[in-house]
Amino acid sequence: MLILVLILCLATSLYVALRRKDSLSLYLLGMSLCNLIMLAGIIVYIAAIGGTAAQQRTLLFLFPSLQTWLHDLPIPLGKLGYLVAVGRSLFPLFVLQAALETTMISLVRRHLRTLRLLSFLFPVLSLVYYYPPVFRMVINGRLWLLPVMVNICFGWIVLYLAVAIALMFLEYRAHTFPAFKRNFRYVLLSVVSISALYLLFASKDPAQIYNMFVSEYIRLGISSYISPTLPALGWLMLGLCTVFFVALGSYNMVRYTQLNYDDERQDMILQRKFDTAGMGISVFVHGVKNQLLSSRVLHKKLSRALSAEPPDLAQARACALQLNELNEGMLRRMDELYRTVKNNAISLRPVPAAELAQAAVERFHGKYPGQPVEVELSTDRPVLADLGHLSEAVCNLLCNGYEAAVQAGREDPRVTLRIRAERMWTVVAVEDNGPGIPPEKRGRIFEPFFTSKNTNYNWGMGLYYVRKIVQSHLGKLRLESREGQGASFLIMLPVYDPRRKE
Amino acid sequence: MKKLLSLAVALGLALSLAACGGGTTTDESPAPATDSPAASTETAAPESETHSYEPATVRVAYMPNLGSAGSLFVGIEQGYFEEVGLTVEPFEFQGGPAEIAAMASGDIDISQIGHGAHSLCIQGQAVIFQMDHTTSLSDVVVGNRSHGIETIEDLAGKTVAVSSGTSSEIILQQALARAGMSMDDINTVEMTVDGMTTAMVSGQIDAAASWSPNTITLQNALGDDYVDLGTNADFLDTAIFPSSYICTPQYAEENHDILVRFAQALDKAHDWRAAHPEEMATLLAQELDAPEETMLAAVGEADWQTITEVCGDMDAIKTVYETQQGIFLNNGTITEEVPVENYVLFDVMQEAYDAYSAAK
Repeated sequence: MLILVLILCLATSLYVALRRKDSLSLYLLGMSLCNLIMLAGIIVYIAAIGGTAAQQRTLLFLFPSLQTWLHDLPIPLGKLGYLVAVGRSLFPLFVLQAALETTMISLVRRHLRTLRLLSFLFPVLSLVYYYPPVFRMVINGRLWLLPVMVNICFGWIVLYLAVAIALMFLEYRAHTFPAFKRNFRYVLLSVVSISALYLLFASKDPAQIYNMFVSEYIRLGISSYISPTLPALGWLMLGLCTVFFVALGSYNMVRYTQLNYDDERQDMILQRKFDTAGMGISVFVHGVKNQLLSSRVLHKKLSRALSAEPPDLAQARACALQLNELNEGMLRRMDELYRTVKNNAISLRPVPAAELAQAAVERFHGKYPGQPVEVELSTDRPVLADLGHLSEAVCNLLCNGYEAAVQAGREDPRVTLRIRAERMWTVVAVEDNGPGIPPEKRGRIFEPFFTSKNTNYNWGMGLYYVRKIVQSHLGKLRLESREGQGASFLIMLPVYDPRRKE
Repeated sequence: MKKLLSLAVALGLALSLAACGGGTTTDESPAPATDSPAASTETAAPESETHSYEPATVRVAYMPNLGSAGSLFVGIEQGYFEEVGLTVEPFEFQGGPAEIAAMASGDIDISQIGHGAHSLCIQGQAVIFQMDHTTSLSDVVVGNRSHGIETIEDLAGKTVAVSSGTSSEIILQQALARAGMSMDDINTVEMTVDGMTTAMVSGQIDAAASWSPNTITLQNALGDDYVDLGTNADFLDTAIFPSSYICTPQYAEENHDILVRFAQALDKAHDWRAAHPEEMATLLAQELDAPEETMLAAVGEADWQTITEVCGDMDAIKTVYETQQGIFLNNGTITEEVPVENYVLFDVMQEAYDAYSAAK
């Protein structure tokens, strides 16, 4: 059973790592792998040496025949013990690396490279110490060293895990966005659960497997793998704990992947929809045709005004003006559409947050002059952005929000633009006091040609465009909306730290 | 948790005592708790003159070979433990040190150990309360002729599997010492005795310090390539290889009565064993799930007879342990001579023998 649990654990983290292909999931994979190596070694050892632990056959081996097979494996105990020592020594390293990866505490961040290198110290020393010939050399004739080393080696493991989990917990506490917090909770929980499973076995010294100073281990009463403190109940509890932790961990990890996996899948759907140009063309043709029909009406008016005796110049001027507006409007939308289809020319440079806010608000006022936008800047971090595109994207969100509020008949249509620092991200949030976005529409609003407004003036490319721009800034676009309380769009841009050169 | 467990056991015990206060004559249940309870002395024993014992359960560690598991399973199968109110839970181990470790952590009450692990008793980790046989004849340093090994001297620089802290280590040391060599002259690799059997057959190692019935398996598998480089019988002029039943000093202090009863049942089992060695081999083949012909071939792996003759002679037993201590002093496993009385409970042995003799 434990074998099954271990394989399940590894398979899940492998799946997570293949899905996400980021360093955090690689660390999780490393943790699972180390756990598997350590526990597999211990299981083989228990199978070989027998004893009370081996009585829990179904828990440990699933089939008695598996135990028999493992039991007869001609594995030198030195190699087997070192395998366990390798898994045991590397696990805390992966946990600490994962914690360093996620933490945004500036003190830690500043010395990240040093800390990363430093964290290799104890694992590497342990691997040297536990190498069987070295171990024999160090301990032989200095038996007083054995209990000291047993404690040191377990001490640093506990220290690493405590530091790593504390760092991650602080990180979790520091998050203020519900979506982030939830996301991070899964990571934290899976790390804690895998670590708990690990600790259940890591508290025992792997060098006992070498069988070198066997009487010393007994004399010192060093906890042994083959004699669990609780013969029956203990193993049962341990088994249940293991299953529980691994199930929890796997679930969390899969959930953690799904958040992002869904993201990617949505992208694929969007791309496909956009590519199946049928709907796009029909919307486009419909929009252009409506504009041309308006144009025809204006032209008729103009002709009538000019053919009158004397020509109605005032009417002609008015018509010319309207035609001009119509033309400009069409050009503008053509530009937008073109930009959406072909927006790969983006040049990123550090832009102060205030400048971005100002540019976006100016664009908004170009469309809705005099309408107030509440701006809240709580960070002076620069963002790495293409000012033109990004401010247009933010403006798009501002306009959407304003229009939604107006459409909902709010007496006081209000949009707010907030820029703040949030751990690894700089977040540009646009909030409105409109009706919010009903859940059934939330999945679709980012699709191209989706619009709730009149198609004469809107081709439903707005949010799709915003999304593409945000993605080209390596950012993420999220929606948080509560029905009746307005919507809030978050553009999350990766933090830009000019001091780091990577 | 351990306290809780023992509390639960004690509670279960008390309940079973209370339950059989009604004076039922016999019960089909194998639990010894259903015998007439020790507390109620006034109820007349209906069947026989046998003592009434307070029932107890003991967890006993053994190794899967005739020398280690023989008397234990004979005692269980013949009902000798049951007669003295003991329920035995057997646990299989691969070596004495592992058994002692399990006793130290309280997972095992009593262990049967081979001679190699006696050094741990001398060092004070456990006490001996019954001798199981006076000398083992089961340990062999096996060489593989196809790897160029004909004599013990050929082992120089070769890979030899050993299981430290067990009889395997002792026989290897003895064999090397006879040729004026030491462990430093060979390349040792730690393995369990079962593991080294597979390793020998697959040719991974050149020699192995093994014991029966693994040596029988090796003999069959290697055929003409099997070379006996040294066995217990070669050293009996100066050495002896007893095996014993042991427990922790603390357990001995708290459970003197149980130990006496256990040792008494063993005395009886020793007699049966000496009289029916083949039947014991057949029984063990079933119990240990081992091939019957292998077990039958291993039937001479210890001296079954002598113990039945000397079990009442404490001086003889003392001599055996003193001689054995000499081996450990010689090979440097222990550095100081320890009085045998420090780790051998002669009083338990004597009481057990007296009780067994009286019952006969």
